[in-house]
Amino acid sequence: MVKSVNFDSKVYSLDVIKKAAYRFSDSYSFEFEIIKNKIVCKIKEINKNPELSFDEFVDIFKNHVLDYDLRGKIFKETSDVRNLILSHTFSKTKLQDG
Amino acid sequence: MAKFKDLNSFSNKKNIYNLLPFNFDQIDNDIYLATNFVGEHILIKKSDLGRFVNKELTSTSNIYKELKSKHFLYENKNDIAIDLLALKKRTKLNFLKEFTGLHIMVTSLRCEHSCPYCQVSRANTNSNKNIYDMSHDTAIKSLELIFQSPNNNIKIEFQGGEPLLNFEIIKFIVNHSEKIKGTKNVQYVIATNLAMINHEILEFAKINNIFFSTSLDGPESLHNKNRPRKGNNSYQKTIEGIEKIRESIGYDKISALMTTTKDSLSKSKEIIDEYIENGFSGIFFKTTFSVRICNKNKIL
Repeated sequence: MVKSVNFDSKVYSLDVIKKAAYRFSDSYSFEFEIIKNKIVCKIKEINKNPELSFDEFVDIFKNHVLDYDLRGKIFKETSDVRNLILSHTFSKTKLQDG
Repeated sequence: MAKFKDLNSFSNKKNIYNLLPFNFDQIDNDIYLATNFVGEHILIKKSDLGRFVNKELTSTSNIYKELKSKHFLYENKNDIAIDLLALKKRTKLNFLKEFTGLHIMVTSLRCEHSCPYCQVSRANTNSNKNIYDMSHDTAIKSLELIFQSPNNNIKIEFQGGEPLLNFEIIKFIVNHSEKIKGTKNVQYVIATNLAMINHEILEFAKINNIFFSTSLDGPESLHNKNRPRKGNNSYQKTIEGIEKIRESIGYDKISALMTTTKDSLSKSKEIIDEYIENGFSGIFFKTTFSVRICNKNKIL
């Protein structure tokens, strides 16, 4: 059984959707296609889970895409301060050149 | 004419904070676990997580105070949080200043398990010991090299194959090391599947304060699938071994780690439950290395 889920490419990046897909790659296979402004994600069940219907999985998958998008936002917003903290962490340790 | 500001202007200030680096994952329908890179964690409702990232939390709320105290956010006016976080990170990484402290000695390449993910070119238990077991000469030369490290704290970890298949050399190494260690602190760890544990080994470990590290890959079916051995009883042997060590040497003398395979990916909750049921307060994840036999078995 294969289901297609469409994502608006202005809302989500392909990278974010792929990250969510990797998480479930033991039980589902994923195929991506970009058509105009849509990212078409074709999902196929590999290992059927008796406790989860395909439709329920699709809803879970969409929520995970949303989570990965939020992680990307946090990563982007905190990258400067992360570098600043790491600079402080390793300053005067004699571990770096120069 | 100037007017008094309303109450909300004072108590419900928004957008006064910045995010600090963190990651999160869903652990229940509405509950998320957020962690940061100095090891702090917080359980947060899904709705609060969204509001937090969108800078909609009020500084008077409990969740805000907890996020602030655990370094998930800092306020614009206060950059001491960055210094504190750097200090914590620096303390956690302090070991990097030292020279090599952990030394691994492979006492035998033989093993009675045949785990497909093993990175070692494993030999059967009845293989030639002269070829597949560490000799006394190699042990002496290895110890000489280990004690060249300027680090005052040395950890020697015995690995395999199954290191306990060559327990005689472990006894020799520990005894010889104690003679030549001088003022250094030396800790010994045996990384073992626990199938070969017996009274003699436990007694020696007790006298010499030796720690054990074992593999517990998760629930019985997953563990036995990952770690096949004759009798298909790896899980049972591991659990029995854990109990024996705790009873005869001490509760904290045994730790466990899990190797993550594709079969583990959908069983994270069951794996954590297994660790809790067996009395482990922490879990160490080891990824499979795509090397040697592991690569040949194409398990990744």
